[in-house]
Amino acid sequence: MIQDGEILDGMYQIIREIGRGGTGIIYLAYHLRLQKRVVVKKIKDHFAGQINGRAEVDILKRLHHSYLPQVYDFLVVGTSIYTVMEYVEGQDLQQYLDQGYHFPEQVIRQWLIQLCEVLEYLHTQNPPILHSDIKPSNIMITSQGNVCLIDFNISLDGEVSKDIQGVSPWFAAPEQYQKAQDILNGRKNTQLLDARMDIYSLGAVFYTVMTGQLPSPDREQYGDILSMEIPYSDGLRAVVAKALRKKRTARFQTARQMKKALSDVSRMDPLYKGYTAAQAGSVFAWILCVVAGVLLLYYGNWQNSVEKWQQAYRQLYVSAENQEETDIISQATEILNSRTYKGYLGKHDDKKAGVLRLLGESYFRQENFEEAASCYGEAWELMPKDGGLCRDYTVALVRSGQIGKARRIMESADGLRNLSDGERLLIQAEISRMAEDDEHALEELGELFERESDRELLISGYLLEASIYDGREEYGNAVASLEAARELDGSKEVLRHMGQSAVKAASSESRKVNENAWLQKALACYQSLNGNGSPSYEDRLNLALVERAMGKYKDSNTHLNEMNQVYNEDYVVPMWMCYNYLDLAKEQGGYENILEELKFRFQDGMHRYRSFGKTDPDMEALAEIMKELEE
Amino acid sequence: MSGEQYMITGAAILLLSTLGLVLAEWMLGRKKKQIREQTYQIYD
Repeated sequence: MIQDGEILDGMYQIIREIGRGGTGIIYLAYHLRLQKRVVVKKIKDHFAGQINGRAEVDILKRLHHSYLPQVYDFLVVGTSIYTVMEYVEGQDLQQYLDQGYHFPEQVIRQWLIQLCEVLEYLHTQNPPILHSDIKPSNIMITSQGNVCLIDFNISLDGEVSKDIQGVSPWFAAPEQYQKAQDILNGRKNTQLLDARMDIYSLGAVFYTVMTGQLPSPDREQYGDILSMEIPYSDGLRAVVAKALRKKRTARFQTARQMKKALSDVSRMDPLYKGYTAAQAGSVFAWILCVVAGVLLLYYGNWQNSVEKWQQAYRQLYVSAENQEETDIISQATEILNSRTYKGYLGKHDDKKAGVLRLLGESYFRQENFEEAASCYGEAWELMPKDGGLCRDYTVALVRSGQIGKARRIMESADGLRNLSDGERLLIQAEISRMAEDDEHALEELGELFERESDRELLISGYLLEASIYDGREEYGNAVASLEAARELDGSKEVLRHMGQSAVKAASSESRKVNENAWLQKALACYQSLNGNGSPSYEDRLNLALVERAMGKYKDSNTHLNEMNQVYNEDYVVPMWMCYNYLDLAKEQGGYENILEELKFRFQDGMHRYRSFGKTDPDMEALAEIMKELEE
Repeated sequence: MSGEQYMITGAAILLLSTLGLVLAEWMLGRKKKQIREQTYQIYD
C-alpha cells in the first residue's frame, strides 16, 4: 500500500488513490521533473509475474493515439511493478451513467467510431495488443467530448492471453469470461482470445449506455436491443447487437469493420438490409434474364441463318433444276461468300460441298471447265469419300486440259479408292477424246455401256459420245446417243443437247433430205423444254428459231412476242421478229398488214441495239434491208 | 418458333428485364434513401 505523498523512484509523488481495477490500483501522482499530473498504476502482484520485461513496456511506450493516454514509464520498485501514464482530465463513462445521463445517437456514434479507431490501432500492432478490459469506467470522456481508452495493461496479445486478466462479468466476451472461469476453477482452456473479444466488450458497454441495463453474460442480447423502446435508430442498435453476438464469427471480425458499419448506420437497419438484398436479387434475376436473352438471340440468329440457308439452297436447287446458269452462279457465289451462312456452312461440309457441286455443274455445262474443276476440287476436299465428286473433278480437269493432274488423281490412293471401273473408263474416254483419239474414246465408251449399269455414269457416257459424234459432224449418231441418254434422264441438259444436235443435223448438207424430220425432232425437244417449269431465255429463243427454220413464222413471232414482254431490253428478240416479218412478206408476196408492225419492231430493236453497244452482223444486215425497203 | 421469333423473344427479355431492373433499383434505392434520411433526421 502506498501512502499519499510518498515519492516513487525519486520522480513521482503520489497524490491519492483514484481507482482500483481488476489488475491493479491507480494513483494520481505528480511528476516532479515535468511538473505535471500523471497516473501511476501499481500492477497487482499476481499479474506482475506475467510481465515479459522491458520489451513489452517499450511496445506500450511506443503507442501514440489521440484516444489513448501516453505511457511514460515503467518502474520496478522492490517487488512491485508500476506503469506511469498520461493523466486524462474528465469523467469516465461509468460516472456519467451513475449520474443518469442519456446520450443522443450522434454522440454515441462518435464515441463508438473513436473507440473503433483506437481498437483498430491496438489490434494492428505487431504483436497485436488486446485491451481485454473495456468497460464504462475505462472509457474517459475528455473535456472536448472525446473518448480516451484507459487502463490497458502490459500487452495482452494472443500469446500472453493464455492467462486471463481480471474480467468484468458483464462486459467481458463470453469466451473471455469462460476462460476466466476455467482458470479460476483449475480447468484447462486452450482457446486463444483475439480482437473480437474487445469488440464484444465495446458492444456490451454501449448496450448499457443505450438501454441503461447491464448485458447478461449468459444470454444472447441480439434480440433485446432491437425490440426495446429506446430513442436510437435501428441501424445503431443493429451495430451494437452485432458486436454483442455470443458467437465470435457472427460479430464484426475487426474494429475496422465495425467502424465502417458505424460510418453509415442506416446500412445496418434490417429493413435497409432487406432492400439491399432485394437489389442484389433483382440484379441476379436480371443477369439470368440477360443470359437467357443472349442465348435466345444467339440461338435465334443461328436458327435464322439455317432458315435463310434452307431458303437460299432451295432457290439454288430450283435454278439448278432449270439450269438457269446465271442464277446458279450468282446464287451459289452469294451463298459461299455470305457472312450469314458462313458459320452454318463452316460446320456442314456436306452442304458446302453440295453448293460447290451445283456451281461446278453449272460451269461445266457452260464449258468453263477450269472453274468447274476448281469447284469440284474444293468440294471433293470437303467430301473426300464422295466418288461422284472425284469423277466429276477428274473429268473437269481433263476437259480443262490438266490431263497429267487427272491421271495422278486416278492413280492416287484416293482415286483408286473412290473411282469405280466404269468411272475410270469414262475418264479414260475423256482423256482419249482430248487427245483427239475419238476411236479409242468410242471404244472405251462402248466398254462402259456394256459393263456399267450406273444411271448417272451411263448418262455422262452418252453425252460424251454425243459430243464426239457432234465433233465428227455425225449428228444423227449424236442424236441417237442423246436419245439413249434421254431414256435414262429427261433432264433439260439432255434435251438441250438433243435439240442442238437435231438442228445441226438439219442444217448439215449430208442430211438435207431429212431436214424437216430433224427440225421436227428439235422442235419437240424445245417444246418440251418450254412446256416444263420456267424455260430459259435460250430455250425460248431456240424454240422460236426452230419454228422460223420450219417456216412457221407466225408461231415463231407469237413466241418472240411473248419473250419481248419479258426481255424488254433485248434487241435480239425484235430483230428475229423483223426477219420473220420479212420472210412472211416474201411468202405472201407483199407487206400488206405487216409493214407498220415491221417498222415498229425494227425501230424498237434498233433503239435497244444502240444501247447494247456492240456490233451484231445480223442486226447490221437487217438495218441494210430496212434501209433498202425505206428507199 | 422461327429464328426471328426467338430473336424477338430474346431482345424483348433483354429490354424488359433491363427496364425491370432499372425500375426495381430506382424503387429500392428510394426506399433506402428514405431510411437513411429518417435515421439521420430523427436520431441526430
